[in-house]
Amino acid sequence: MISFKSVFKTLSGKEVLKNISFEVNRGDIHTILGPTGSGKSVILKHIIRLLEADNGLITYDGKDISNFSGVELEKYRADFGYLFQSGALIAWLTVGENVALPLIEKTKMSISQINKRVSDVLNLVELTGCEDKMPDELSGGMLKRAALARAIINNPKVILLDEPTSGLDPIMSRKIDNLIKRLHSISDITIVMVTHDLISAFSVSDRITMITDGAIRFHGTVKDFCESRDEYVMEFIKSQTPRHMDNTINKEQ
Amino acid sequence: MQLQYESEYFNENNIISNLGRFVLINIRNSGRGVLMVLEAIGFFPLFYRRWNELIRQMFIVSLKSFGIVSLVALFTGMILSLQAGIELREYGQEMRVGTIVAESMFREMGPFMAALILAACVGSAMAAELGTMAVSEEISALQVMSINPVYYLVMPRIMAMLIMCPALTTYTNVIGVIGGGAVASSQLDVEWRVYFDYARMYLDMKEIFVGLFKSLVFAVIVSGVGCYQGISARGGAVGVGIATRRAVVISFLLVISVGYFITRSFY
Repeated sequence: MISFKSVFKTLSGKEVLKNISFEVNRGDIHTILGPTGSGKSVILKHIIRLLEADNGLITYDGKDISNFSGVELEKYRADFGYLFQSGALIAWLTVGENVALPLIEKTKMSISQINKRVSDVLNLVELTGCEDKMPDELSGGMLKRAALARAIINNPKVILLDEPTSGLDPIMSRKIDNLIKRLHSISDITIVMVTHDLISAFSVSDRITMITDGAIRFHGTVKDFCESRDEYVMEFIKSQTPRHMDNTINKEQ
Repeated sequence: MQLQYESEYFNENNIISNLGRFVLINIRNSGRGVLMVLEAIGFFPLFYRRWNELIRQMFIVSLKSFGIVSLVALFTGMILSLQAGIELREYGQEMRVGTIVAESMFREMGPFMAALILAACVGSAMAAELGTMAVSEEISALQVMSINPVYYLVMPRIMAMLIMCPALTTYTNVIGVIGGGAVASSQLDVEWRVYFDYARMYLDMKEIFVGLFKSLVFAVIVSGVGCYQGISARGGAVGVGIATRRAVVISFLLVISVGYFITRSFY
């Protein structure tokens, strides 16, 4: 569905993507995993065309996305929902207005239809009754869920999630994971998630691509990832495994 | 259109190349800024779809600057009246101080003072607000939703400024003339009636319209520079600070220089 072929990108003199090639299959939850600053979010920004590749090819359903402009680009972006790391809700709009924004600006739906849709989506993300709250009145978890509601309001085919669990406590992180799984099960959409949270990646993903220093380190299923003998992958898994569990694993081995 | 601000990294060892880079970067950014303003003006026919935001921006423009405009206008008129009146009294012509104050205020000082205050109060706020939106990815979020940030954010701000700047300029002119009259009557012994008669005598429509024309041009400069600096800000809180400072400095320089060329072209 989405394919990267030998993509390179340099930002402010630093090569942030080096020969990136991978594919995201339709209906998968595909996680891009890696340490902070490894170029994960840059990949998402390339998919949605907030950034352009210096070299290489990115395709969506076989079409080169760099050729899209004007109405074509608008139609392409309409297939996507994007959850930004910070939430990126407009500060002076209420939660309801933020969630309704894509419908108000880009559809001809009536106000009552929009209100109904906003209410349904807020129910789905467990923010019922928060329509009139301002973004600065929300907790971190609520903010992410409100932003997720905005990302899914227009029934996208693909959702791009940039660090959906960053800055959240473990309980709220698992709630977000469950929400992602529920969204996927309801509509069978494709989800591309960027994270460095291994628990989150393991609990929701079908496939994992690991990026380090702008290059692909691993690409495969969750099972393959767990069984990988790559030193960095093993170190990454070990670093996020609590010590007492690490001892248990060693004893079992 | 591309809204990223050109990065300004220079080679420490080569002055010539640094100078060339500086000139190129500024020409490119000026061009992008002008294109952004033209794009925003192109969206003016769609203002009714951003009616609420337009009203909100008009309210912000007037509220943020009303108090300080009143004070500055009053004292500008008083200073003009005092300075001119003292000289005119040497020749026994102090009754003509009304003409000088009115001509100066309507032709030059009114639009100029209003624009500088708007640049400091409103232009800087626009740069800070849009800059914060840019660094917190709110502008990227609009782009992802295929909502043009120039239509959604810049158009209502420039339009609000175009409506409110001439209104504030007219208010500045009137308050300035009243301030001048207060000094003329209290310190120069010129009656209010005489002061206003002389103020009206030489003030023709040309002065009023040139002043209003200036205020329209200054409105575009202040809001355009503020919006462009904000929308192209990068690099977190530091970037927002730099954008805000640049917005004020560039607006001041453009208002002063463009004001001179407009005066020169009409007189």
